[in-house]
Amino acid sequence: MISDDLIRKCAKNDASAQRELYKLLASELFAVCLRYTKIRAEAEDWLQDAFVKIFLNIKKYNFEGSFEGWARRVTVNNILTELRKNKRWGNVFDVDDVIDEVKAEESATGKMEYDDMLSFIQQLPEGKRIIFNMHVIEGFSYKEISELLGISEVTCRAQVAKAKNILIELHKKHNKIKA
Amino acid sequence: MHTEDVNEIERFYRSKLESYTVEPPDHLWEKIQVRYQRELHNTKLSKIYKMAAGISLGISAIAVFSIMILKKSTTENRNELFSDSVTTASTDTNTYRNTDNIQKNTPLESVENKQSKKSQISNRRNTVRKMYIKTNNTASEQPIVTESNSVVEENTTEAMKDKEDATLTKDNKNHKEKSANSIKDKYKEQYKDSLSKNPLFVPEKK
Repeated sequence: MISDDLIRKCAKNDASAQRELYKLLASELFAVCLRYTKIRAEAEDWLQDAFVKIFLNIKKYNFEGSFEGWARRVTVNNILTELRKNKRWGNVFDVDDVIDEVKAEESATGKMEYDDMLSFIQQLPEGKRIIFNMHVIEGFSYKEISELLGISEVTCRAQVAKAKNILIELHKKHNKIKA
Repeated sequence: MHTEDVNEIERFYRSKLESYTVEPPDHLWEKIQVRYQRELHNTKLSKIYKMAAGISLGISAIAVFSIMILKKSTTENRNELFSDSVTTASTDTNTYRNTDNIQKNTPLESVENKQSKKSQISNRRNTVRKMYIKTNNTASEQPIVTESNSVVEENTTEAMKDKEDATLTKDNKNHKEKSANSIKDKYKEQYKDSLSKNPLFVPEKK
């Protein structure tokens, strides 16, 4: 839990407080970044940007709701801005993506691990991955996603449904390998 | 775990991945610090630039405003002086309306110009009076000395008097002529028959 005092210290550009905040939030926000890209270096860049923006805009936080949620939103918005800059979701939403080869790996324990889940998500086509992450994990509504990405709500729903079907297929294959 | 169920998979992923964390590399914090300091410096600079731009904008606005006010006041002043000179010129002599040769005043030499204008106007007035007297004083044919304003005024009054006399005598003459003509006509009517017989007829005195 991040205290209000720590946030106030960060707002006053206290380096030690900022370091502490980084320690508390970095792992959670890095996981968010990794969900949106397959490339680790890109996720690291996004995390850097996200923390710089958090520190610059921390004065705007009004202590309503959790600070973690606010920081998460800043991170996701930053990721979306970066994706928009690079036009990463040009035609991806309307094309029916097909995964040629499922790369499900067998976990050491034989159970569904977090890393497996993350790899399944990373195998999703980019457009479907973004919308699935935003809706299922971050909790954005379809309306919010359609406004943020500039697409219709129907497309959002369809993309989430297709992403779920792909994940089911990946899980099936994963279970077969396990068996 | 039955991941076949579409609704189940959504719930499963949400519950598992919400608390999922990945430790970032150690060197990341240093990079973040460097970038943050740079951004902070840039924001401070941009604030200073914005302030400077605002101040310069304000100063330029004030300068433009003051120039406008100054311009307005000078034009008003000039118009006032010009209108004054025109009104004095027109009221002094109705016949004189040409103000082109009167120099316009400028704020620096307004006093000098005023004096010169006054002298110009008085000169004009004298010449116009001379002209007026010459044209209306042909009957008297007296030499008019108009060296000063008083002499001119005297001459004008005398000329006016002569003119009045001349008009009076003219009226008397006309009246006498009219009465003589009427008497003539009366006699002509009375002695019409005798005159037709003898054109040199003279009536006897009663």
